[in-house]
Amino acid sequence: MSNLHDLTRRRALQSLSAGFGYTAFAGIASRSDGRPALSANPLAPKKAHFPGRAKRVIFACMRGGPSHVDTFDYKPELTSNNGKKVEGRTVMESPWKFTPRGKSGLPISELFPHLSRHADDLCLLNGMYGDVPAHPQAFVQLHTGSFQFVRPSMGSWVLYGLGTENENLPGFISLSPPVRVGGAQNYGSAFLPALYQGTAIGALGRPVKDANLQNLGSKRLTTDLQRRQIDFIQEMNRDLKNRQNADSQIDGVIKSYELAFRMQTAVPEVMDLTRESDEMKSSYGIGQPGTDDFGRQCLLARRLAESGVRFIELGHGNWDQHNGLRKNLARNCNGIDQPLAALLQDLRERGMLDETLVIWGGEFGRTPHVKKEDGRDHNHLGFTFWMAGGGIKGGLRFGATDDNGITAVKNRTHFHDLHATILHQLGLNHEQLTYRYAGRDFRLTDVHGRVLKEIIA
Amino acid sequence: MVARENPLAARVMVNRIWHHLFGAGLVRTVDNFGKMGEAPSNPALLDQLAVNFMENGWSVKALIREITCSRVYQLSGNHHEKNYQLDPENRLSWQMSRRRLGAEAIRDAILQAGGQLEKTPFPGSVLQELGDINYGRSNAVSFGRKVARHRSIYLPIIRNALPEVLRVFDFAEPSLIVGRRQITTVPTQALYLLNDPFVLEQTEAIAQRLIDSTTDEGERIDLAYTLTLGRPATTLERERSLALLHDIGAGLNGKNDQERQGVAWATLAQSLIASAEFRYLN
Repeated sequence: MSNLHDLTRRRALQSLSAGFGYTAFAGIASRSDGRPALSANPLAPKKAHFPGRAKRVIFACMRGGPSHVDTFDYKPELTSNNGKKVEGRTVMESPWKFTPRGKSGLPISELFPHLSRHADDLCLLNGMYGDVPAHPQAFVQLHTGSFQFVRPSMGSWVLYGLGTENENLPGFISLSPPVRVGGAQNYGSAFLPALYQGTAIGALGRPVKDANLQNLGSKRLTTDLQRRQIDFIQEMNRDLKNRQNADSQIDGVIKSYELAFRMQTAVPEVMDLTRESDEMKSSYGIGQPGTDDFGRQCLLARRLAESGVRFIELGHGNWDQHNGLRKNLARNCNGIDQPLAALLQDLRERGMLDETLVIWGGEFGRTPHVKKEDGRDHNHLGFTFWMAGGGIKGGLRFGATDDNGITAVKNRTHFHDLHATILHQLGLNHEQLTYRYAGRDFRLTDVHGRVLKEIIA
Repeated sequence: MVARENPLAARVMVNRIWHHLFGAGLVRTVDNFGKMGEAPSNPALLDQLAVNFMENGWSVKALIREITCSRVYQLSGNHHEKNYQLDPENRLSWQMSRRRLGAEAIRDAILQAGGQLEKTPFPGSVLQELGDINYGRSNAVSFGRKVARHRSIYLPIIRNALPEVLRVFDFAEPSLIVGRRQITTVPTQALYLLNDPFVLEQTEAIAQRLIDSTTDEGERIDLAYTLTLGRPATTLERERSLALLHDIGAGLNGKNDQERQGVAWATLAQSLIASAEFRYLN
């Protein structure tokens, strides 16, 4: 005595959920009529809107606002204007030299000897601009598109749009995120279903070497005893299911325990860098004092990418050089240069670079104006991001700031445009990837954003 | 906004209280009344309750009393095939829907089972004692200990730094308006209940309670079920529990008898808390 209602509710979930870990949404409302969207597995890989070049994102987030005129925005006029007043304040040339690198001749600061060798892979977005020159707002705007309201993070939108390829790992991982400047909001899901939120591993300022996912093992029981415990729990759960006439909610609980047990081994395995050769590790700068931490993050990123994680964010800081520019900027660049170069090289050698969108940048840039001889202040009017892989043209400078690097004047690129382009490379139309909340459709780019077609290969 | 001729505020409030008591509002889109939301399943009932609410001086207590003393609130959750076929989503309340406990209730129930729940509020503001600081991981741990046993409703809520137990069970995002919380079933919840130090501590407390209460194992098992699930164990469950206790005790190395006992009973208590039955209200 089959029955249409039976089929849609219970039977469908029982049969469809066989291969998947995440099931059973009792109260999810992504439809305006309030009916729960019956998806057997909301995190299963979803079809993109159109075939996208990239399958995943690795975002190297530089907290504090890296100076663009000292790193990736070559300003020869700034050198000739050194010591002069521009717009009322004295400007300072870059203490470092830029030279044209690669076949493309992209000018890159001498602070990046390793990364410069990959100049032909890099697309420099020299015309970036934001709305707020203060850290908390700008950092949150970079991650969520809004500096005023609580909105889902980039990674959550991507997970929502594409699902994840590996149910045994979180689909969106943020390594060493800052606890301040928005904290969990930067990898949060806001009004999107909670399972699209990012998972933080470690925290900025603490060595990623010691970091791992919370609650991955029992301090009281061995793995075998815990399995025995889970068997007991599952027996109870199955009994309950029978008593209460089979229900998707209980199925969800049953599946969640099996998945949790698998995660307890899957996560440490992927985070375990001893599985990599010494040669590989030292190519990333692991084991050397300046580059060890970010080197580990980059190698972890490659391993996570290989394991199917959809959105990986790495954290480095502090790039807020109001003072100590010469010493601290050099140290910062030294800390990321070799690791990032190794990551690009490694992805390329594994044939993964074309499907992996690598992004670099911070919440804003810095002024060419000097602060007390050895510092630069915040500059949200013009700064630089770069992208590599994921179907983006390499060896290209797109967008430009004025002669001194103060304001973006050509091909101005807002965070919204960056977001639209990231989604586009993943095969998602930023105007179509929406979620209904509080009576209207929301999207990462809200009512803004343009895909930068010019930089797409 | 509260004029007699403007029923919106009253209807929204009534609907929210209905949502809390039944798991779903008469209008299911609790945050969205009107054209962009869903229609009420029983508009006459909603209006009547709204009018009563206004006429009772907007008394929430009176409204709750009115609803909880009604027949519909006291319906069982038992399945009824014919009704189910007519109304599978229970829009017309032919049964009391099973619902997942909210985060606060789960935390309180765990504390209650161990006899650890502190039911009185803090004097004044606990947060004020912290002063003007950056609240990060390290002071979260020490601060957490201060508030560890208090009823969840008395916990200070710091945006972007929610206690893990609340976060993992779908606590409302503090910066948003959330009339209807999500209900997720995810491995992080399982990992939390299996491994988190808070749960380990509380189940130790439950174990102690069981051990202190009687020397009879069967009685202890019944007490464990009663404290966590509100009912004694069935015969089969008692057998299974004894088997679990035995296996856990036998598998622990390098511990004396008393320690083994402690861990075994704590593991049983933890398993009951981890079960689906603990978190679903029937």
